[in-house]
Amino acid sequence: MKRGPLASSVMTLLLVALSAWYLLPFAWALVTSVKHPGMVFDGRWLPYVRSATAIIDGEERAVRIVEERGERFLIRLGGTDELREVPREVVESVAPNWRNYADAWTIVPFGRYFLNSVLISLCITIGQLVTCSLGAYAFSRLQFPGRDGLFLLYLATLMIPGPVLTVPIYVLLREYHLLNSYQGVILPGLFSAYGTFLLRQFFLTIPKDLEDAALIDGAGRLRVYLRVMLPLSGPALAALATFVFIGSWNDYYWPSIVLTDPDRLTLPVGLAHFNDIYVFEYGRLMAGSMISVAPAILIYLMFQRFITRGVVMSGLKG
Amino acid sequence: MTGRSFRRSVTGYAFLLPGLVGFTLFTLGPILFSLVMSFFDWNLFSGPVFVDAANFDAILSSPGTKFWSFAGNSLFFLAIVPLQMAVALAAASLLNEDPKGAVMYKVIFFIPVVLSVVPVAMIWAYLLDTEHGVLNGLIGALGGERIAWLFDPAWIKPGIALMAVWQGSAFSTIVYFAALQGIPDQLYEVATLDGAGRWNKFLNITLPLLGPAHVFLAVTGVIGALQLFAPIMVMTHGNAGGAHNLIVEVYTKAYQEFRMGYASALAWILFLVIFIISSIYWKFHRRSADYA
Repeated sequence: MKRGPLASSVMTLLLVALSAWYLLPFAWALVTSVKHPGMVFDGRWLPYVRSATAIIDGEERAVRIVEERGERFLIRLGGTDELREVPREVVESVAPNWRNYADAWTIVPFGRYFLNSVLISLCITIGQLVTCSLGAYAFSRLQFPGRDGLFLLYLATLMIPGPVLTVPIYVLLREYHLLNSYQGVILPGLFSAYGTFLLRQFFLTIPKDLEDAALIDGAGRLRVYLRVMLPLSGPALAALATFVFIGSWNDYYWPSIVLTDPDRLTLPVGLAHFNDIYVFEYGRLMAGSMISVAPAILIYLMFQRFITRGVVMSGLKG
Repeated sequence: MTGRSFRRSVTGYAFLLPGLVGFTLFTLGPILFSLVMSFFDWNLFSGPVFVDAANFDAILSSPGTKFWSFAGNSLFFLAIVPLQMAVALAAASLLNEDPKGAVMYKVIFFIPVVLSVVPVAMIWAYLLDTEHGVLNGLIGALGGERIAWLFDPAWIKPGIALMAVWQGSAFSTIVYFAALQGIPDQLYEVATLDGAGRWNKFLNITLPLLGPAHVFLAVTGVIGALQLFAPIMVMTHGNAGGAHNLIVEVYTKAYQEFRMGYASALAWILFLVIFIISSIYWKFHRRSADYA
C-alpha cells in the first residue's frame, strides 16, 4: 500500500512509542544494575563510578569518590592526597560499575540454577516430543477401538486449569517421596494432551501415499513412524520443542511448589528467592535480573524463526 | 475380534501407551482425585474425613473466607485481556505495513515472549517503587501525588496488570502478525479499486478476518489472566494483599496450610469461573471461530 508523508510519520511515531514502552523498562533496569549502592536512586540515566571525572576549579580532573555524604561527595583528587567535599552535580563520569554483577553472581548460584533449569527443561522437552508424537501418530493414522473416545477425553481435559491438577499431583508425589526432587518437576511434564493434539493436527496434513508406499514395501508401523512421519514433521516438531522448552524454562508455579532444597532450584525460582531476601537492593536485584534475562535474549536472537513459529502453531492451528 | 483387528488394536495402544500413562497419572487421575477430594477434609497428616459439601459451603457462604473479594481480584485482572490485545493489534498492524526497520521492531516487540516472568516482575516492581520508581517520578514531574503501587490495596492490581500487559502483549502481537500476514493482498486491492480508505479497509477487511485470532487470544487471555500467579508473588514478595486472587488462595490453602480438600474445592470453583467466561466468549464469536 502507498503511504503519504503524514501517514508515514504517524507510523514512525507510533513505532518509536511502542519501542520505548518495551525497551525503557529494560534500559532503566540495566542502568540501575551498574550503579553504586548509594546512588541507585539518584534518578540519573548515567551511573557514577568510584573513579570519575569532575569539574574542579573550572577544569576537568580525575577524581576518586571516597564517600557519599547525602547530596555531596567526599572525593580525592587524582594524583594527590587532597580531599574535597563537592556537590554531586560536579562529578560527571559515566563508566559503569560492575560490582553489582559480581555480588549477584556470588550471592545467587546462577551456574547451579542454570544447570538445573537446563536438565529439567531438556528432559521435559524430549519427553513430550516422544510421548506426544507417538500418541499423535496413533490418533491420526491407526485404527483401534476407543480411539475417538480417548481423543475427545484428551481434548476435554484441555479446559482444566493447572491448580485442579497440581493439588492431587502434589499429594501423589509426596506419597512417593518425590517432592523436592528433579523428578517431581519432570515427571508431570513428560506428557501433554495439548502437544499430542497439535502434532495430530499436523500429521493429518501429511499425505498418506508416502506412508502407504512404505507399508507396501513391508515396513512396520514403528518404522513408518520413525522413517516417514518424523522426518516429514521437522518444522512442527521443532516448533513444539521450542514452545515446550521456553515454557518449562520459564515455569514458576510448579517448580516453586515442588522444589525447596536450595541446590535444586531452577533459575526463576532461585531468582525469586534472591528477590525476597534482598528486598529494595535494586542495584543487585537488577543485575540478577539482567544475568537471568541475557541467555533468553541470546537464544531468541538465534532461534527467532522457530520461536515465532512455535507461538503461531500453538495459537492459530490450535 | 479377528486376529487382524486385534493386532491393530495392540499396535494402536502400543503407540499410545507412553502418553496414556502420563495422561492417566498426571491428568485424568488427578481430575477424578481432585473431584473426590473436594468433598473431604484432609490436611495430609491425618486421614481424610468425608465432609459432604462443607468445603463448598464454607468457601461460598462463610464471610471469613473472603472468597468474593478474592474472586473480585481475579476478575479485575480480566482487564489485562482487552488491553494487551489492543497494544498487540496496534503493534502487529504497524509491523504488517512493513516499515523501515521492521526487522528491528519485530525483535523489540516479540522478545518479551521468551522472558521468564520472574525477572520481568522484578524489573516492574522497581519501576513501580513508591519512593524511587520511574513511574512515580513521572507522576511527580507532572505534578501528581506519589502512588504506593505495590502496597495500596487500590493500586496494587493496576500495577501488576500493567506488567502483565507489557509481557503478555508480545505473545498476542506474534499471533496477530501471523494472522495479518495470512490475509490475501487481493482483498485490499479490490477494496482500493472500490475507493475504500485506509481506515475503512481496516474496519471492514482486517478486523473481521482476524476473527479466529481475536477469539484465540481472548480465550487464552482469559485463562491466563484468571491464573495470574508469578507476577503477584514476585512483586509483592508473597504478601499478595489487595491482589490476592483465587490462584493465590488455592496456593495458600494447599501448600501453606495443607488443606487439600478445601483447596481442591476452590480449584474446581476456579475452573467453573474460567469455563463460564470462556464459554461466553466462544458463544459470541462462534461464527468467526469457524476456522479449525
